[in-house]
Amino acid sequence: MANLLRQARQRALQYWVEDGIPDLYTGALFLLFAGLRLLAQWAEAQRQATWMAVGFFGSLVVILVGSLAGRHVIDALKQRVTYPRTGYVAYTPPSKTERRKQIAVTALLALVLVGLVLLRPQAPLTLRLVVLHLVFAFLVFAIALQLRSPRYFLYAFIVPLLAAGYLLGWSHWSPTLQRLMTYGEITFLVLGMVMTLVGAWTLRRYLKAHPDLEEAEA
Amino acid sequence: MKGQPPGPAPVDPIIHAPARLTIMATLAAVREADFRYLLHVTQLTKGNLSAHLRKLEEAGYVEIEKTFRGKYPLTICRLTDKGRKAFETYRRHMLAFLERAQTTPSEGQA
Repeated sequence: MANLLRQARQRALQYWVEDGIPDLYTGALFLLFAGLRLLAQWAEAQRQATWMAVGFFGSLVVILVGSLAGRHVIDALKQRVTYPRTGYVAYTPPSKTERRKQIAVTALLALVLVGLVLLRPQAPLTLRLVVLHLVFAFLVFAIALQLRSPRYFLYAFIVPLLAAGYLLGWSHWSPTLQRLMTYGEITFLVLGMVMTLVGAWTLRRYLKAHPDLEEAEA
Repeated sequence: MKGQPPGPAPVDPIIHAPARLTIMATLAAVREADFRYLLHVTQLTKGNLSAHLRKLEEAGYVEIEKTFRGKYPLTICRLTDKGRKAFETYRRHMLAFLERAQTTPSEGQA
């Protein structure tokens, strides 16, 4: 009985990512963010103040607006693609306990990041790389666990894998590349590409499985 | 309780039918869903789903709102407060019944 309700909740959650649209959106957001961060880094090296500001503030705006507007944009896309094919569902807002848990985890992660920023001059680059990538991987893993989606477990697995790869060849990378690896520009670029490609493939499969818009209803 | 037969399960016959139980559990897990989503999840036929929804609506467990999104008809279904309470009661009774059935020694063992 309890299983039936849990399965129904799980099914509804998985339905959100069934069409690949959230992967596509997040992937595109990560690509844009990484692109702007790379622009800021390049402009800094070239001493181009305007482009540096565009890259720096642009990346902040992209990540803030992209995160806040994400649900609405994805929902608008689903209204055109998914809901006319396999139906519409509205989720129940998280319970007080769930919300408290989310706040506690977010506060803990924020504390780790703030600590890292405060320690920035002293902490070695490799330590910062490990902490930042672990925090990010933990977040993606938490989402994957909630969705029970193999795709999201793959995304969560890619992050520590990339970090391990960076560390293995650490002495071979130039200082600029080391900085790009540490602060996630390359990680976001790779993850953005993977998510966009996997999202596009999932959407294609979804559209193949549900080619027609159904008009008849009860 | 221990050692006594569990007795008949005190179930709500409206919810107890497998198809309607699936519909109720699906709607209990979300705020609302449309007819197409229920079709997708329950794998029932349109006629069958319609009939079960009508029965649940008549019992006051489900609220059905017919509207349009663009040119497409949209049938939104959601559990009413009465439906949520009935489903919760059904769930509690079934869990208690199953628990009793587990703790009751089977015939010949006692």
